[in-house]
Amino acid sequence: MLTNPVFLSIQVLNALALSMNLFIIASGLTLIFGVLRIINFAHGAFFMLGAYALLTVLQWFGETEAAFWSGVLFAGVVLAALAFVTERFLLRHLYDREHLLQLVFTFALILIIEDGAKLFWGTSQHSVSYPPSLAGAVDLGIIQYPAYLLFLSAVGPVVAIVLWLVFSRSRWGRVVRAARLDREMLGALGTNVRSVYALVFVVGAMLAGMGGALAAPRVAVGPGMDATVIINSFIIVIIGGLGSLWGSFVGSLTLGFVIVFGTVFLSEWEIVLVYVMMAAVLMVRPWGLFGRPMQGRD
Amino acid sequence: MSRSFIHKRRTLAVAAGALAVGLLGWTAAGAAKPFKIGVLMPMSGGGASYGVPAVDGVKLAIQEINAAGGVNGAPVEFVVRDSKLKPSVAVAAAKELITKEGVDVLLGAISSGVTLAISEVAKQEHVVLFAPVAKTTKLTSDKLHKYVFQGSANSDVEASAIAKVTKKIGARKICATGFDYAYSHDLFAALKRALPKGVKISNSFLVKLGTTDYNALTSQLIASDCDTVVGVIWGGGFISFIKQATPFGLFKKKKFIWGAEVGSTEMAGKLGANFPNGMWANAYDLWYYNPTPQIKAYHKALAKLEGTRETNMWPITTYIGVKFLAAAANKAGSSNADALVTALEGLTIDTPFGARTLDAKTHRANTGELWGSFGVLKGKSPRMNSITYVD
Repeated sequence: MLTNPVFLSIQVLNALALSMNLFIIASGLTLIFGVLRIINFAHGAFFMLGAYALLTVLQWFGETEAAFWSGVLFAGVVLAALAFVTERFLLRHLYDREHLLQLVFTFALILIIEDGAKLFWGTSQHSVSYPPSLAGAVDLGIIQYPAYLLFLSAVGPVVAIVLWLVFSRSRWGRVVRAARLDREMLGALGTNVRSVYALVFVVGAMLAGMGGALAAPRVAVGPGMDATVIINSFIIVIIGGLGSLWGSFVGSLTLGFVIVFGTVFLSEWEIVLVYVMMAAVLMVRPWGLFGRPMQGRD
Repeated sequence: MSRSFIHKRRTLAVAAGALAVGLLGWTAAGAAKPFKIGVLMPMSGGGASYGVPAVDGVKLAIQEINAAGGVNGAPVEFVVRDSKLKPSVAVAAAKELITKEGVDVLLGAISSGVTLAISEVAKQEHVVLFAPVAKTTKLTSDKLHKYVFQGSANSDVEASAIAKVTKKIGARKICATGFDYAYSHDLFAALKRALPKGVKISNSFLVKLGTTDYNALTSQLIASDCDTVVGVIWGGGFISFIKQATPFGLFKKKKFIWGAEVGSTEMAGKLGANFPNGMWANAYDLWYYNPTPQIKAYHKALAKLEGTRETNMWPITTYIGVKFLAAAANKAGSSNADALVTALEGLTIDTPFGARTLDAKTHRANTGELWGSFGVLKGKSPRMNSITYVD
């Protein structure tokens, strides 16, 4: 099958679309970890809520162009609000506590969100159509390829570049980087560290939510969609190096290709393959491809 | 209670006058006792879109039976319990129906897994179970017992219908696709046996049950050299697959035959104009298919009950189930489980789709399905064309 150009090109494009969709989510996870030093298990649940938020907008207004894009924005807004409230009233009290407590907290969030979603949206699977403008196919010569998936592949790099520009070039980015290196010193210099943390958490959750909304037409919306995504995002972040933006980018691409080609050629081994890859990376670079060895801040 | 009485009457040679009088008295009282059907269907959550219409079929059949004088001079009643598509819930509900509600027979459920579970209860409790929907052949082969009867078209019937369609459309090489579990395995094994000479399954692509990402499957199908795709991915998975595969131009490249009743009005309605033009699919019943006055009358009555002309597919399965059970009770002259089994074995009844018989040995009904190719006209919901009933 590898010699079949049609098959090969579709699979490569599929891998790109999956990678870039995963990157949008993983970038939020790595951002939150990089700054807050919190491993947010509930990131997958945020992703799922984003998809449900889009679904709800589409159910209200019908599957139109405007409804789709406002649904994606709505997903971002809902998740931002949820993240703000969570950070302000709950998470904030855990920054100085041990890691285990933070893990248990984000895990509890998953349980609450999952069951809440079942209560609110039921247990059935919902299918979301591509937005009308991207519903068609693009003729790439030897193959036709869905326009929406090409769009998704393009969104990933855009998100990566925007995040990178913000962090490396803007004043806010400098503050965030400083918060990451030495929180106490930054506070002593007069910056409100708490609001920096809150903002990062909100942005990270927004990325998860909008990533979920954008993923909805590629897959389907239903319970359980959070579990696969959170595992994949963790693998990406671990391969790429915790807290590293470009690490997640490369990690996403690696994982996307392993999943897509693994599903086809080694379908029974696909799940194992992903972990084998992760183990291999960690044996060579325990801190991930783009990560730095931990300096033991706390 | 009634079972043990009759058992004694049969086994004990001592027919004391007092006992005989007592029995007579019981029989007379029993005549007024309604024939009670315990219905197990998913009434909430993901399965409700199947379960709620299925109960409509029960209602309609009971209305008709009671209007015609009921069963053995007594009315027919039913009690519904929500199976929630979960074997454990359904088992508890089945036990409650038998012990607390005192139902005479059970009817249900939707999924093969749930039905196999309540079939065990029926076996232990010695209560007749009529399975109108579950398609697994296991129910009436490995797991067959005295009290279970299968009304659905099983995977063998479906495979032979698919084989007939492949001949009709001139298929040569087939790609088979479905969820990787019992139903698809059974179906494709049966299809292999049933295919006409010169037609073969060249590739088989099975995906995880509940998969939502069909992009890999789509590229495999496009790259494969088969001319026809036979698929049995069902429910939400079917809808996701169609929506994801359409922009790849997959449905213009190959011929498609799809089982698992995706031709139903509810499925076609959900996909609307996205339904692949020319796809061959099946359904138990279609509201716009009215070749005989019997089917027409059934649709008319159902439309009145459901309040819509575009009735859906599931009611016919339970409607026929209730008719079987009532006919058996009439034939047996009692609602005793063992007498009902004897009456059901080999029983033939008249249904909107013609005569149906429950095989005395296999406990399966000779149920067929409607097959046809889909025509999608702009702005209208897709409809099956040149419909044939295949059994």
